[in-house]
Formats: sequence, C-alpha cells, structure tokens
Amino acid sequence: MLLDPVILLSIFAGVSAGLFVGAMPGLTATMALAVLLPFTFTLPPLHGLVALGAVYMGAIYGGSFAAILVNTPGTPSSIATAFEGYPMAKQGRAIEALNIATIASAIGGIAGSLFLLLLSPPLAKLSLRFGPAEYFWVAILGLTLIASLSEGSSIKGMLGGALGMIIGTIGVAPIGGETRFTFGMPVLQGGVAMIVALIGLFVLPELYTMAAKGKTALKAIEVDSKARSSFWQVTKTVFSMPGNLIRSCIIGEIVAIIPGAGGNVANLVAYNEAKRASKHPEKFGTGLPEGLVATESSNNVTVAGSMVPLLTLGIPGAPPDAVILGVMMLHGLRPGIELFTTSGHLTYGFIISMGMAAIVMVPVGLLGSRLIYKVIFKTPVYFLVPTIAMATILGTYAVRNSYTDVIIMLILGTLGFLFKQLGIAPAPIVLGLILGNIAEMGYVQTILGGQALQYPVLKLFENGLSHILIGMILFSALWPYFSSLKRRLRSKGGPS
Amino acid sequence: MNREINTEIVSGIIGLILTAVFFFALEDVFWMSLVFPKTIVFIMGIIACALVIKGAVQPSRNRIFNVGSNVRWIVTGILFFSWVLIMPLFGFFVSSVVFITIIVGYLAQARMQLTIGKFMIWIPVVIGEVTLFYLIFTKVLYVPLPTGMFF
Repeated sequence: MLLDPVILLSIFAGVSAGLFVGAMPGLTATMALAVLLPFTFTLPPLHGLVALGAVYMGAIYGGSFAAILVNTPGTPSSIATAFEGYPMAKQGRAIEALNIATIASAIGGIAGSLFLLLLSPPLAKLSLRFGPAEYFWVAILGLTLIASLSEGSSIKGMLGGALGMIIGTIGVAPIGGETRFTFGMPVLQGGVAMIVALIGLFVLPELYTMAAKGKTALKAIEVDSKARSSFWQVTKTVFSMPGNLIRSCIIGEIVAIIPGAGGNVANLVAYNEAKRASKHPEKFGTGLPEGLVATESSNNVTVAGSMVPLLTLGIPGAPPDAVILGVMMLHGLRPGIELFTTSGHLTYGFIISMGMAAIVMVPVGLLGSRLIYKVIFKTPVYFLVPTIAMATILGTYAVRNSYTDVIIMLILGTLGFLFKQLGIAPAPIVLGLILGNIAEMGYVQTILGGQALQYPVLKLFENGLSHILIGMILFSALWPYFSSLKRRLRSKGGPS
Repeated sequence: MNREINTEIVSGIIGLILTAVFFFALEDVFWMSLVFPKTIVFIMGIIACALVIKGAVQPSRNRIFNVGSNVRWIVTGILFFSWVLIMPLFGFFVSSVVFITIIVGYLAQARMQLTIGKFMIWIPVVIGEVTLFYLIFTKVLYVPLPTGMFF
C-alpha cells in the first residue's frame, strides 16, 4: 500500500514543503503542519498522516540549511548545527556540510522509525515514570551543557544562561498565573516566545556582521572540492563514526520520549556528548563533521521518537505532534494499544512512511542543497542582508501574529550582537530560555506536591529516576575537570 | 569603538545592572510565581560578581567591535528599527519596498558608485521579492500582515 504512487508523491511533496519551511528562520514544523492540515481533511487517513509525517521530517532537516549557510538555525532543533556547519561554510565547505547534514538526518530519521516500530511499548512505560521532579532534573542536566556552548569563558556562558532563564520568566507564570517582569507594559504579559528570542539572538548579530564586513562577508572560498563533497565520500565520512551516530540516535530517542523536550534539547545534548567523547574536543566549533553528524542525526530521531508517547499514551511529545494527534482524532483513531491492533495497518503504515520520508530526504536534500547554496552565495551581500531581515521579520510576526514580537526580536538581536562582542555567546542564552521554563514547571510542581513534607524541597530527591539523573548531572558537570586533570597528569608522566 | 577592553569586568557590570533591574522589578506576587525567578536573579547576581572579581584579579583585554565598519552596522540597525516602526503606519508591503531599497542602496555604496540606472534595476527586483513573500504569507499561510494606510 505504501508503494501507491499517491502516497509516494505525498512523501516527496511533504518532504520538499517541509524542507522549504524549515529552511526559513521562524517558520517552524508546527506551523507547516498546521497550515497543511486542512489539505489532509479530504484525504484517506493513511494518506493524510503520511503527508504530515513527511512535512515534519523535512522541516526538522530543513532547519540545517539556514544554520549552515547563514549561521541561523531554521528551527530550534538545529541550534548546534550552526556551531560546526557555519564554520565549514566559511571555509568553503558548505556543500560538504549540507551533504553531511543530509546523510546524518536521513540516518536519524530511519533510526527513529525503527525505534518507534520496535520499542514503542517499553519506551512508553519509561516516559510514564517522568514526573515534575524528573523534568526539573532533566532541565538541570541540560543546563550543564552551558560550559560547552560558551565560546571562551564559561562564567560568561553561565551569565548568558541565567539571563536566558530570566527572559523566559517574563510574562504570566506557568503555575500561579501571575505576571512577572512586565515593567508595567501589558504587551509583555504574553512573555518572550522562545522562537522569537532564537531568531533575534542568532539572526540579527549575523546580519550586523554581514553589514559591517560588506563585500568580504559570506565570501565563498571555492575549495569545496567535488571529491570531498561527493555523495559517496560524504556517506563514507558519516559512516566512519559509527559510535557517534549510535550515541546521538540513542540520545535523540531518549530525549524524544520525554514530552516537551524534543529536537531543540536533543541536538544540544548530542553535540555536547560528541564533544565530550571526541579525541580532540578543542577543535569543536571550528567546522568538525563529528558535531554536525551528532546534531543532525539526533534531531531527526526525535521526529519519529516523539510519536512514542503520542501513539501509545496520547501525549504529544512535541508541539507538531499535537497537530498529528488532531488528524488522528479527526479520523476516529484513538491513541493506545488499539492503534497497534485493530488499526495496525494504519499505524505501522504511518511509522514505515516516516522511514521512507527519511530516505526521500537524500535526493531532495542533495538537489536542494546545491540550489540553495548557489542562491545564497551568488546573491550580493547588499541584497542578502535586507532579504534575510524581511524573512526574519515575517517569521517572527507569524509566530503569534504579534507586532510586539518583532520589536522584541530586534531588541534582543541588537543586545545579542553587543553581548557577542563581550564574549557572551547567544547559545547559552537560548538554552537558558528553553530549559528555564521546563525547570520552573518541574520545580514548582514538585514543591507543591511535597507540601505535606516538613521540607517540601526533599521531594526533588525522592525517587530512583531522580537519583540517576542527579548522578548524570554530577558526571556531566565534573567531567571537564576530571578530563583536564587526567590530561595534566598524563602530560606530567609523559616523556619530558 | 574598535578598542581593547576588559570584557570580564564590563560583562560583570552589565550583569549587575541587569540583576538590579530584575531584582527591583520583582513584584509582590504569590510565592509559586516568585520562587523560581527570585532564585535565578540571585544566581545571576552571584555570577556577575564572580565575573567582576575574575576580571579584577586576572585582567585580560579583548578587542571588541572589530567585525568591520562600525558605522555600517549601526546605520543598518537604525534602518531595521525604522522599517519595523513605520510598518503599522504604511503597511508591510510599502514599508518593506521602501526600506529594502534604502538598505540595498546603503550597503551597495560601499563597493560601487550608485547611479539612477542601478536603482532602476534594483527597485523592480525588490518589488518582486516583497510581492512573493507577501503573497506566500497572506494567501498561503493566512498571516494577517500589518496593512497600515495602504495594504
């Protein structure tokens, strides 16, 4: 049934549309799915689900294009892609970076579908064990990444992370419902949307830099040799790091099954772990394929991975999943065990189609990457800067149809540029913003749940899963010190 | 502006100013809404102090604003803000055509002599580009863009 020409066409069109949306900063996978939703109403259930799954897969992958070519993550799932992809583009290796992202994304997409096909029931049970305390610890675990995301001084990174968390608390409190830090301005009651901050902090500094550099900005150095960026060579490069691939896919899957923490967290965690496991962590940030493979494989695993809680428990793992849940409900499909038994042909068809969408990403991506590369690098900077600015303004406005969001984006972007001059990178600020909300929800809910205890805060340390997470936090936080101590001892003991 | 400064002390001082701003903005709200931001404000204060101390004990100077022409990024920033600020008045389409043309002209003059002939080529390109984005967002994505006094 999946080889039906209409289904194949749906996959191809879905991946292409998703790629276009994902490549535009500000346009998210959720938005793409929401816009295309009405088109699926008249389609049979399987055709509709297949098309939306393909759009989702394409959008997460498409985010890498903008991240690599203009240092602007198209979606929050490709934040870390910019760390390695953009330096590669600056070295004239843009096509190689785009092709690596394509192959890694396809592998991630296929791995995610396989995980979903084989491991749904046990993974769903694990996701049920995550309560508020575990969410809090997951957020803290994520915050330990700040040290690796800081360019230079980690104290400056921590300051950025704290600032991001404060920005995330502006507006109505998630628990309690009171407003905070609105400075008497009602327009701030809606808070700062994460995607608005992401666009501002990543795009505007880059536009200011391009404007300041003038004709020397984005100068394509023609060293992108065909041999190195060819499909076979890139495939060989990606498969030459099986440990990195497997680790990143597992990280992506674990993060994906936790509702609320999707590709935006997975790509950063996978990048950090790739750096930690690398023999040359100091080279990260200079254009290493390892980092690119880690981020792109992990974020595409989350596409199918986040379907685990959705299909088994009816809990959307990420915002786009809510749209897919809506389509399922529309066709009378209820999440749960019945979905795998009485509607098995539909469910398994949908899961397999996501793997097929991942495969289709390869030809679409390889053709699309050359086209987009040419458009970006052949366009004069004086046209590129206002064009990207327009796409940025539109993308920001479209998030909530809010003019205030555009002003906030401009202010945050300008501050981000000034902070960057002082050595405070935008990534820790965005990380603080993403994880601050998760941490606050987890913390306050846990304390509320522990009111019967003498010390409610002890509720945070109550169960086994929390202990495991605390252990991982300590390991993650202390590892850099152990590793530098080990290096120092080794250099002392070595030949002198 | 292209000079060397102790970025740690400057970052620390900015951190302390932001801490003070957010500390005094902490309103009298119920503890559930207050506990988390209050903790983060204190943590930010501690980090900012640590930066100032580190900058004073181990002073290191870094060059800032050395990305290229400072005038060009400042003027571009002012043009971005002006573009967005006049958008509710003139609408997305008109303000975008006007400001994109101004920015193109401003950035292009760094590398070429501006002539009316060049603008005669650029303006239709800009109009085509803005029209494409305008149609995608209003007709396909159904985003109600600011219309102002035009459309």
